[in-house]
Amino acid sequence: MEIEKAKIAKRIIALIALAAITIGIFVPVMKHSKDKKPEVTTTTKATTEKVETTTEEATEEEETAAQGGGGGNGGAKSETKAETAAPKPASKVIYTGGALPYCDYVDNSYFNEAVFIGDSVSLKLRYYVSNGSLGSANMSFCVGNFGSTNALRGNIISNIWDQVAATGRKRVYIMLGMNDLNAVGVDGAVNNMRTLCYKIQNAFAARNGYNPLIYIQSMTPINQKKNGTNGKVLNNANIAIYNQRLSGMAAANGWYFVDVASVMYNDAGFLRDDFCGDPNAMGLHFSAAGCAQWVWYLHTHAYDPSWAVYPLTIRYHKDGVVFNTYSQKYKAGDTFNIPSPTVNGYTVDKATISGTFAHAGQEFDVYYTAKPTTTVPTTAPTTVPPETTTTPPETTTEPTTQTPPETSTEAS
Amino acid sequence: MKKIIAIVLTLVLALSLSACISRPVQSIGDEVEATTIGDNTPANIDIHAALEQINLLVKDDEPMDIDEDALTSLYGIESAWCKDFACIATMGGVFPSDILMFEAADDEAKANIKEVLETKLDDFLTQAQNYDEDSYALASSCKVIEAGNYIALFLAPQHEEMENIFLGK
Repeated sequence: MEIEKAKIAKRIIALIALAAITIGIFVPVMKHSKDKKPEVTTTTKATTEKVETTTEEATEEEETAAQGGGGGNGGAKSETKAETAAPKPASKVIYTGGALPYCDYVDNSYFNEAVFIGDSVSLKLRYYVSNGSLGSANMSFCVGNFGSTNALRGNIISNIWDQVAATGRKRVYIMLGMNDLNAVGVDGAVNNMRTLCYKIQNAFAARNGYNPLIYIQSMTPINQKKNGTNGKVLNNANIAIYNQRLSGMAAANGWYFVDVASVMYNDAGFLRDDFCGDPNAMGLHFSAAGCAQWVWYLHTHAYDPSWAVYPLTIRYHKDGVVFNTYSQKYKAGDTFNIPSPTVNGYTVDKATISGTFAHAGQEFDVYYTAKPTTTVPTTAPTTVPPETTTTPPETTTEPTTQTPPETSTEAS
Repeated sequence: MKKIIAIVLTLVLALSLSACISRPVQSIGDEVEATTIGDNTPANIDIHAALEQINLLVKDDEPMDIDEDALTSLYGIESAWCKDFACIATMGGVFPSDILMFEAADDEAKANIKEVLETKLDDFLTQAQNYDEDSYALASSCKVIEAGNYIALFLAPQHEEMENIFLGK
């Protein structure tokens, strides 16, 4: 009996010891893991927030535009280095969606009307351009740890859309995503970016009575050493998908896509080493050289709708063939009044072609019919419209149409 | 034998309990307080000579001069508040580093500068939280330093050395 009691006592002691050891080991481990992973909590909150704040979903138009390419960085890209690129001759462009193409180097004053929104990547740019290389651009909304997700939550900057609208600047440049991909995934980050842009647009309309020009900048890549080490979603493959989706979103909403990332890759598809300021930390923040490249890209991929010129084409038909063509370019808002040439022995169906340009090219056809009572008519017009050319007419599309975006034409 | 087991178990429990006690963490809401240096402070600080020494510490981090315009655009500090200033920022690292030393024009100006620097430090603390551990640790350990009419903030990994240089230690 005494022996059995002793055995039971030993077993109880053993159980207590086991329990103590279990507590001793697992409680600190659990505590440690909780301390080490604040992002888990953040992710949950952010995901919840996404459901609450994201009411817009990607449209088919956006998907089509995104599939059309344009802004995505499907892998290695290596474009012109800032220091070696000579500005091209005057090349005002007609924007047709996709990434903004190369343009003349705009001067700093272009950015006097700009406000930038960004995270810690843009914060580096904010410091770099304090010398005025982006004019007097408002960079005060470039802060660390910022993203479209927490912008909608307002826990770093409250009601940023109202504050941005209050600046009265007409160009809104946005680069966000690095603090969103891990939190809400690619779809969530795109949806939240769209919602944020809508809110900014609405705030401008309500406060200033006009829509801002929104320039979505592509998210820049991670260096080779740190790619894949910054969380489950934040990596170059997903950044490429995210950028492609942003490009489609921009095209579908009449916003401009500025593919900054396209000039940041090395040949292997990672952030260039000389552009990386934190190669051993996160591998995605810029050095001064990276910021210089960024500034150069912004200066050479600028756009304003007022710059666009649109072609007017008039084709003159006689005896079943086009015998003359009028071709001229106009800016939006210009009016035109082009008299049709007189042709002996023929009557014309439109004596003049007139109208006002919107943001699109225009084409007209004028037909001549032989007069039945006259003798042999001459074949050449007695007068021709001013600046008649034989250049084939260019066709253009509105910036907001859903044609597949063209790939940017970079300087070589 | 039982005594040994009891002692071992006691140690295990004691260790586990101590591991469970978390260290106090500075919360975001806590106001950043400036450190005022006492009697050992030199009456005059050559902030430009200090900056020369500090530049050696950060020469590999792409130091960038901060002029009057940048002082206003980046930090909101008006040049009229400063009798003198010596400031740089660096482009290396996750966040830019701020190395800011001022000789205030007067007491009111000093109060203005102090408010700006403390806000800057608070903002950095907010941005660094849940971002990366090193930046948060840095934000938690930096202070606004006052010495007579001088005031400084070294928001940089080498801030302790910089503070000593500033104070002539």
